[in-house]
Amino acid sequence: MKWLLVLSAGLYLFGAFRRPFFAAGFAAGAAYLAVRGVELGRLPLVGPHDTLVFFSVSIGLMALPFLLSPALRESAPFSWGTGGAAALFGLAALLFPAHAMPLPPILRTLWFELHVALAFFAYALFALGAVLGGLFLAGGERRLLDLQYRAALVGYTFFSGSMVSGGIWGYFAWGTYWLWTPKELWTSILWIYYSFWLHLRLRGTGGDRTLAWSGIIGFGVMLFTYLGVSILMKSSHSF
Amino acid sequence: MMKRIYEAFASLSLGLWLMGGVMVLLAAGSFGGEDAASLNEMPLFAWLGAAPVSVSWWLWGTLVLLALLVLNTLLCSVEAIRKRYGKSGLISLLAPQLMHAGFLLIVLAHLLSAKGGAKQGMQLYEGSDLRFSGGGSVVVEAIEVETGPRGMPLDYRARVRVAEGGRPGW
Repeated sequence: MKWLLVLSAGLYLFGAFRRPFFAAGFAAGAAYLAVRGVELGRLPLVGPHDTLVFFSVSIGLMALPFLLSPALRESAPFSWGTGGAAALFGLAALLFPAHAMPLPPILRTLWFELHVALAFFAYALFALGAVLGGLFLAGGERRLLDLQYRAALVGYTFFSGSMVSGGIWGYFAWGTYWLWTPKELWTSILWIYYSFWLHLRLRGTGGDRTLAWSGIIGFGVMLFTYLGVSILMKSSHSF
Repeated sequence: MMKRIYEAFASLSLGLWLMGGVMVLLAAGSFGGEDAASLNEMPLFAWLGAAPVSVSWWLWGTLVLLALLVLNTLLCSVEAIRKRYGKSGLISLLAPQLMHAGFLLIVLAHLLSAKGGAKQGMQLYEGSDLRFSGGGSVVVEAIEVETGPRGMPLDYRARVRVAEGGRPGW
């Protein structure tokens, strides 16, 4: 069923400038996730393949409401930007094998699924924030920054929920709500970064380019937290 | 003079600098490798007392900056509420402070768990009892393992009974 992933990427890469094609790209990715879920008997949220697919689908899902906003309705660059990001991560998932192992006991709890799902919804919104920041820097209107703020604020809320549910899951899994490993440290860094970003905005206008760039840098921090730590460092969340 | 100090501690700029400092120190700590692995085996303050400063410096720095950030957050919340008091409804007055309150609560929780507690790995078998250093004990009545078709463990659970003062309880 991996052809669904390829179809999703193709629709994003070649048709994202039209909302129906963008929505179709999202639907194909979501269909692949659904098939994986039925095969496994659970949400596919473990390992690089499944999490990259979930991230790709989350970007598509979170972008859809933005595509309906007046500022972005006719914006092909936004569609291309977010579609390109969703396609990139969907195709990256094909580099990793799709595991079919049963879920280990410490992952068999709703708190784990809630933790991971909320985290990826947040990551997707941070990615959208980066695209919006880039569009503003490329000569866009100020209302793009307002949309960037909304994306970051909702993403921050989701991420806060992810951290809380992660602590509860950790308590059930390891007997403690916190571990001092690179993943937890970088999760804290990411949360503090977006706290920093949201407070930076409170300083008022005059730092619009700084805000836009900060949203893009935040995406970089998010990427390192999600992929860098899991691939390059030894932690509780290593792939 | 006091007013200037208060305004400095309640300023948004200080908060931004402190957040930046905490991020840098946590990032430095994340690259510490195996040196800091024992941090997960004991309460935080016990580890800070035992670990050499060459290993723990990033956490000392983080704690100092976090303490200042807690003060900054409290004062910023007070100032935000003071400025808007009487000008907006109760919900719009307090809602922005909800996240501040959550942050302070989490820091407090970490502080409480950093002071005490015990963690130990041990092997338990059916029928063995586990005694706690502060008194009390539990008995492992049964350990059940659920296996898959090829014998791989899929899940496990332990039935534990609380025994107090050496006598069976419930």
